[in-house]
Amino acid sequence: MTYDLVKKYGSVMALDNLNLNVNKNEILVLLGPNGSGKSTFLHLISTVLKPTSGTAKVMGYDIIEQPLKVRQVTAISFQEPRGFWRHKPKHILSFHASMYGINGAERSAIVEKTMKEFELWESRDKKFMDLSGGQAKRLEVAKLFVHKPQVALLDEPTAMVDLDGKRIMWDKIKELKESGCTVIVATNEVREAEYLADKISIFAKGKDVITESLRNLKDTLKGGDVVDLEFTNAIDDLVIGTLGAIPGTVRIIKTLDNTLRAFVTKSEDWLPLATMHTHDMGLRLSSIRVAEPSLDDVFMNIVKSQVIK
Amino acid sequence: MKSALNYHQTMALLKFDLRESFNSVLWVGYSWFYFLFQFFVYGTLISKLVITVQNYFFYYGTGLIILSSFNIASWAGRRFVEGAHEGRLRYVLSLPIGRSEFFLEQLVVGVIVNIVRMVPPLILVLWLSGLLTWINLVSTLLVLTLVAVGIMGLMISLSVIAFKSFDIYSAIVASLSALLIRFSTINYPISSMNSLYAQISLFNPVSYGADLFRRALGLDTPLLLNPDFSLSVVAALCVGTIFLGIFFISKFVEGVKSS
Amino acid sequence: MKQWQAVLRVIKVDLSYFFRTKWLIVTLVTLNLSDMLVVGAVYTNMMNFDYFVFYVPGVIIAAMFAAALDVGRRVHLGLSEGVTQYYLSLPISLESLALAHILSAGLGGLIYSGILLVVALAIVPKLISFSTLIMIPFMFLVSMGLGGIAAIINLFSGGGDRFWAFAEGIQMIFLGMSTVFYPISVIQSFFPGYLMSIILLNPLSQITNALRSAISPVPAITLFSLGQIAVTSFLMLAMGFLCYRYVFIKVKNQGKI
Repeated sequence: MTYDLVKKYGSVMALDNLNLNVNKNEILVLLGPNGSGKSTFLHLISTVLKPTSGTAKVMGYDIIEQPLKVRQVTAISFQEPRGFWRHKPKHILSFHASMYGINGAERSAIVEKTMKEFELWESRDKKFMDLSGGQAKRLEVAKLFVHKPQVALLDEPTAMVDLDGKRIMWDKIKELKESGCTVIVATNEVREAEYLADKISIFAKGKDVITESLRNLKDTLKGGDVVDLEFTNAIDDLVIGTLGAIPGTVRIIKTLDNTLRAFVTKSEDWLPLATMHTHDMGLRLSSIRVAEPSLDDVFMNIVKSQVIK
Repeated sequence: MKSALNYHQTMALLKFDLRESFNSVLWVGYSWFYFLFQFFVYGTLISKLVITVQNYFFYYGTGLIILSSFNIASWAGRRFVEGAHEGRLRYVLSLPIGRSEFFLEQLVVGVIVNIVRMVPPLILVLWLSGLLTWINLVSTLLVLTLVAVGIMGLMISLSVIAFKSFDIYSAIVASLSALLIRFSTINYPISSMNSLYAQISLFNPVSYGADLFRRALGLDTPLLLNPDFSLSVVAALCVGTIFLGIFFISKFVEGVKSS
Repeated sequence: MKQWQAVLRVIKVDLSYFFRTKWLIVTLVTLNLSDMLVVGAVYTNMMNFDYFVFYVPGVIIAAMFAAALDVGRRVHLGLSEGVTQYYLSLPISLESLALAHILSAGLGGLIYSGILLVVALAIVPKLISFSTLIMIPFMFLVSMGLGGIAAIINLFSGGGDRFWAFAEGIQMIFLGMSTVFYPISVIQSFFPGYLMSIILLNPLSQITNALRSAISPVPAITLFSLGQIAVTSFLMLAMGFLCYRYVFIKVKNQGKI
């Protein structure tokens, strides 16, 4: 839960009075254009950065008053995997585990298991600087899996990772949630958001523009659902007028003599009414096709509207 | 419970950093080579020219140990700044370890590195001067540790302020080197300086550290500053820089700017 | 774009790194000045000759060496940060790139030591002479030669952080085995005879002695000594050129050094 969280870099407002609530044991995905404040938000929550004003509570701990407590329950995987250039992946994970109180044989076993799960075992004796971009990124994410924090923060976890690797990591992130962890993922990748999110929060210019489930988010796009109706006979203007008057209709066009395309906000509300009116007018439908808007469309629409603002 | 946990984390970080610091044999070997070359070549040549100080070769060698400690402290500060730029700092800041503990851990790593690198040269200087006894070795090590804590605390504190820019840190090191090394008794006694330089050097804690170290080595000459006062200044430097460092790290340090 | 234009562009980038912040340069110059004005002056009180006047040209040349090596360090950073790989994708030949880096080191060293020389002329007016003026192009040559040493270090230090260790070590040896800080008479009494010819052939000794000729008639500048400076500097820069070329070929083949 954040309270009017503000972060300024000089005169640049990175986060602008952010108020955001994340429920326990859910995956919240932060989507937003570059510079929208996603990474800054994760850095503030992990207490790596200090807010300019406002605060946030993580599992009940205040990030300003109890930063150490916050760090005991959170862990962050950074956007760019950097840091220990001359160390081997095994040592890096082992150190990370020891910082969260995992020691001895348990630590060795967890490190080995995690490295195998993230397909890093073969590279265990390479130095960090000799890893490929994708391997380094996997290692960065793997840190969170050696101790499974109560709150996991992941900044673009699958950037630079191949398709196969992305799948593995997405499944692992879901497993993290299933094990009771609350997960916040910042990403630019819409497909990642669709795959992972319980809720999606769209950031623009340092503000949380909207936070909704994927379903509800799609419904916010006016005329986003596209419904194609095909009738057994030709249709006239009366049909277009009647269907066009149904609440939630944004636009309706006649594509052929017997077909219509309607742009509606919520197809699940619109369609029952449309079929009822069609039946009342004595027409028969031979086919109905519904296409939902993609998250890309929703995202672009929301971000564009913010830019115009 | 909290302090026990923090102790465990601090020790884990200490162990990790020490391993990294001694990972490169090259740097340890280099620091010894650097000392030997400076001591034998530069030290011998300059002592052939100096006529006002008896056994200037020994005076130079002891000053060189303090100078090397300053260089190692600069290295520790640079490592901190490097850590900020390479992403290591922000990672450590995200770990469950307190900021004060983190500062103290950095300080201890720096001091240990300093002692390990300086013990062989110290033994060499003592042996060449015919002063190698257990008492001398222990007393000089104690003084060296005290001086190292003071200088290391100062450099890490400054790196904490300047961690966002290598250039700022380089400028600070260059300025301090101009001020703390040139205007000090590291290379020459107060009596050789003109009055202005001598006045400045008397305000410089490094002068007291260097002369206290020489006293501990067994050098007893009127060229050196008062040992009791020197000890007080060096102790004050240690305590002062530790508090300063803890204050700075809590106040200023955060991960580097991100989008 | 013609090759010489490409070379100029690379030099501009190299030097913009070196002179990136005026206040940092001011601080570094202050450090060198403190060497001259404090260390030189205090040691004069401890010796039976005017070490200050002897020391000032030495500080200028030592600073030139440090500056030339710093430009080389930038090339080293460029190798690990991918800047060189980027250069290799541009329409510039390996030879032009190598030449550009050597010239950058020469110019960096000359400009930086030039700043100190101007200050030195004010504090040691005896240095204002025709012989100092004719030394300037030779300082550029020596500085390029020192840039060549930076290239050799780049070749042998490979990736990682070894460049600084090597550079500082070599700097210390080159300065220690020269007449930059100590008179030849003292050096002769310490080093064995067979090392003396190396010390005298060291371009740092040659250029510092030449600068000192304005202060003292011995050793005087002769055509032979100028020729020696030119030949040794050229040999070093040629070796540096070949080393950079080899490094770039290696980067092209392996992706990194």
